[in-house]
Amino acid sequence: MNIHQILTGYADGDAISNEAILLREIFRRWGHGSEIYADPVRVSPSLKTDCRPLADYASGKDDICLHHYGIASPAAEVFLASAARKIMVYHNITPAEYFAGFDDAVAAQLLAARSALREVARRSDAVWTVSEFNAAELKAEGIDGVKVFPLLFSTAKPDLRPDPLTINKFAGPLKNILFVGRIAPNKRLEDLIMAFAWYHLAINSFSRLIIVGSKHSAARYYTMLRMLVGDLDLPHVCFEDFVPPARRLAYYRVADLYVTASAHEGYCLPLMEAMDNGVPVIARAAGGMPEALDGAGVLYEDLTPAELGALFDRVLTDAALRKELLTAQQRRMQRARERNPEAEVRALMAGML
Amino acid sequence: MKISFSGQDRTRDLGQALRRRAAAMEHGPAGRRLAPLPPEISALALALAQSDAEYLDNLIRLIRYRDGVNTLDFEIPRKPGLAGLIITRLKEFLWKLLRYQHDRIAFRQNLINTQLTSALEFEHARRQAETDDLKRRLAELEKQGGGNPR
Repeated sequence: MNIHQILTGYADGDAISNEAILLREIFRRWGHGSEIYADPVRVSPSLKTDCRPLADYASGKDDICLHHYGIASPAAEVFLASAARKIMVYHNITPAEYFAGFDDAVAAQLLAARSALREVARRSDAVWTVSEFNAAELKAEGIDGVKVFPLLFSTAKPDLRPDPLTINKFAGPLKNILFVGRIAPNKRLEDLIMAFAWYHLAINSFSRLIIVGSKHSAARYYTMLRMLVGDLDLPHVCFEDFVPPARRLAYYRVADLYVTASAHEGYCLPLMEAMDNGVPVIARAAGGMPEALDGAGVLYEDLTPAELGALFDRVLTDAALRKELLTAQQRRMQRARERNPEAEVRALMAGML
Repeated sequence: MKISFSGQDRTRDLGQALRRRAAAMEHGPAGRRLAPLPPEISALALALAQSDAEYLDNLIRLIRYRDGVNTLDFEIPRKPGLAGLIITRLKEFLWKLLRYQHDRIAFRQNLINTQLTSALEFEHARRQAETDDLKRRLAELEKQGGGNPR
């Protein structure tokens, strides 16, 4: 029996791709044939040989097919046409209104994904999702029997070394406030930049905001952010684009604080990465982020940019508070490391194997 | 406002402290508080667009406000102590010394920027006029042909 996975895209450092890789390892360990299929135009050059073209996908009735669903794409059509037993893994659909004006084509794809959601779920034999937040969203759509399988997290490979050039560039006396994630409108980076502007101007001018994430996810949104940074006269905001794993690790190593003002997330894996690297985390209490933090980090709601800037300072300078935060984050990561994904997947697939 | 630290609700104590701190920051000296642009010309006006076309119209309008290099003085960050004071004074002196040369360069850069902005505006206006004309002619043809050919 084969257990294959169909993805919309397959990219380095992408949370969904990482989860697919971990699941493939599990399925192969169980002795099943297991491949990842994705549209070649949406595959990172470095991963071209690690997956198969979507057009090559074929299945039998005894096989199982998992589809990681989050946007309308040809992958969903291949999944629905598959003869295999189907599992939809729902990673959340970003509300289309975030992209209106920034990218009409993406907004249309998100709307299409939202309107097809019930149909894809109905034609699936099982529906998994990565957070209770997503499960509640599916329930509101009338989809029952959803099983929650929190997004898998794997710590950095032991042989991965942080990029020394990045460390040299950003180590030093300035306080580094870090954001890692796609530069997309739902991430509300404008709120983060405004808060940083307050912190930098009124509290600590020896500080910088480092934004690590692809500029091409929503190019018009990125243009707006660059213009905003110019308006605020903030040369200390660094846009670092998408980076390979060694550089990504280096940013976490030089970070004094990780902050996200994102308003919509299915889960948010960078929170886990930051905690795993001993960086205190501040996040807006939105979407699946409270679940990802699971009793660790700082969660906020309804703060003005000046209040958020003052919160940065509190976490950066209050040693006792920082220690308490880091201890809770370590406990959270310990719980994440103690998970037994293999047993969880076996339980989820009971009756199908 | 709501804040939790490591799962504990701290809105009452830390929230109040943050509120007071933020209020003090908002009433701080001019160089140390944020002075955002009016909403109609702020970069954030781009977020109000409801379509790609509307975004482009807004962007071109906003670029017109930003095609000049700002040559106003700016705050030079100062580290504490005597060394910090000396370094800051040195930077201020160098800035004054080079101000004339800097302004000359900014003048030349501004000439290029304004010409590029004008070219962008003219091109956008020409394309808009062409599109409007094509739409008008298409509507006339559809009217003559008795409806939408599709």
